Amino acid sequence: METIYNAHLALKDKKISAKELCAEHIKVAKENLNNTFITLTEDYALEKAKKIDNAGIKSFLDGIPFSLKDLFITKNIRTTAGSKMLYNYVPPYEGTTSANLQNSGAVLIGKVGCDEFGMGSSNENTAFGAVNFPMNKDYLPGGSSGASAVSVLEGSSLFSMGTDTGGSVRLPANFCGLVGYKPTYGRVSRYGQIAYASSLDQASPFARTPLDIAIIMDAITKNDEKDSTQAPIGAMNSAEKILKNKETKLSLAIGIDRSMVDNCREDVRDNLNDSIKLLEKRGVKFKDISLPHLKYSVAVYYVIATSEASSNLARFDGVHFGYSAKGGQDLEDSYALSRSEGFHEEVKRRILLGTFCLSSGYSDEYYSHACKVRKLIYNDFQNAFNECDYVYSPVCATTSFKKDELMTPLQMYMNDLYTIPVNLAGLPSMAIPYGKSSMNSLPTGFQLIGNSFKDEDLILDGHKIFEVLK
Amino acid sequence: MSLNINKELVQHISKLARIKISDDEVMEYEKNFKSIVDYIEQLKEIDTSKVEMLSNPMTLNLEYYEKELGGSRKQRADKIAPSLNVKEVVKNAPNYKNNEFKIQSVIENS
Repeated sequence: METIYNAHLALKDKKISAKELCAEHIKVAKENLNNTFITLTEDYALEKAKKIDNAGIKSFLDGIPFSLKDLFITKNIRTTAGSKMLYNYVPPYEGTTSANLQNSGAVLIGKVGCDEFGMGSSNENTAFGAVNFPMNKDYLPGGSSGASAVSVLEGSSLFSMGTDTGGSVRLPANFCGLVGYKPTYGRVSRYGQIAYASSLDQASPFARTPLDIAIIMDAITKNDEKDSTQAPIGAMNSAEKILKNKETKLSLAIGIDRSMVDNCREDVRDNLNDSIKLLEKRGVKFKDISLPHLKYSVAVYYVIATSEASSNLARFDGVHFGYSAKGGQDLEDSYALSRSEGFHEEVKRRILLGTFCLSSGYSDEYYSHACKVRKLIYNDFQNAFNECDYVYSPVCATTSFKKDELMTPLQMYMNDLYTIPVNLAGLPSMAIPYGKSSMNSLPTGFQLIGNSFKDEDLILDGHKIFEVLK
Repeated sequence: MSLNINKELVQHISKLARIKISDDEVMEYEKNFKSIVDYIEQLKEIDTSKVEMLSNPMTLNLEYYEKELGGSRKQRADKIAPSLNVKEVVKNAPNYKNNEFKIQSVIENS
């Protein structure tokens, strides 16, 4: 009963009550083997589950226990962003993603950890301690939404919401053998999602199957008047479509830049080539495409994301909310003191880098120029989509990495080489697990990238591909 | 041609960003910055003289939505809606009084 859909069937057939289902998951959360949760909402969850049992199971999400990355604002429930800066912050309003899921019947059992403000690929940059990787304690689950992935993996949630700014959902999904889905930029409201880089951030779910992803996406794609960057397309209805579909043939054209696969570590490369062969047998036509500007993605990302972060995080001043340092000489000094003591090193590094990229004398050279290269990356994808339905790409050149693997900030940033282009171009992408590494038995996988707003097609085809490969 | 990242520049940036850093940290950030900025320098090899800036994919995504997918992107009506309750909002402030944020005095008493 590890998937939303199977749990839904069991709830509907009264094999288990919502209260029992939630209690089972809360029990795992409370065992706390992996330091997954920052805040548990046990009483709140059990009370809601009881209400659902009384009202009867109607929708797919009724009574389904889930967790939220602690970047999602939840009314009257502490929301920390994984940071000392927001250690005691209790939001006076509800974010849209949380509201949509809870209004659809899902039961929030708690808020899980993350790299502070979503900045990191390892889940180690946090004021609440790194999250363990249940598959192998010597390794890391990836970040920044690593705890969300772990909550699904350890069985404390049937699904979890993370945020994906440069791969923060697809990378941990890939490391943990889960399905991670990053929607088209503007498909899901960002209201009540603590901002890191606004032109890249998108709420993104973790689950065990594309069908479960469909169930979640159907709930979080409602129009929201509070986010003007959301396209007013309305909610998707993809789960029903998947369940009705009987066609299993994959008559798809998928573009691939082979050099991206060739540059992966041997164990990952072998499995990716294997998946390609299997898909070809089932009717997929792979077309060689070239994406010449993608190699600049990391450089572009670290100019744009840090610039936006420096502006977004300017709101943390120790006056309006959050951590306030004692002993500042005057107002200016106490701003600086609060920010220095409240933020983790990686967040400070990115704010400083962004401030530099936007500062007088450098902004044309760095920020404006990076935005132009971003357009070239967007154009690469659009050229590819003239020839194919989707683009096939690795998620990461390696499997999960070891805890004690010392990396410089730049080496750490390079883990996101394959995931970042998708955020820069605002496209949807599904990370699909396939195979285990011959070196360390950890999961490997790939991502399937679609064109803007082809989310529903991507999820339906992702489901077929997942079923073929599993 | 690489930009000269030095102690003074790091200190200047930290002042702009309102982030205090110690002398040891200045050296560490200087080192990090050098390697990151060196890496970013590779972007300069690309000729972007005929390319427009893409600062947010929303515009292009909505254009595509309208032209290729036949969608409409009309904006919502501009109507008045309730804001957050002030009492609830100030509760998260480290220091407040009468629904207002309290800060250190900026004008000295004479």
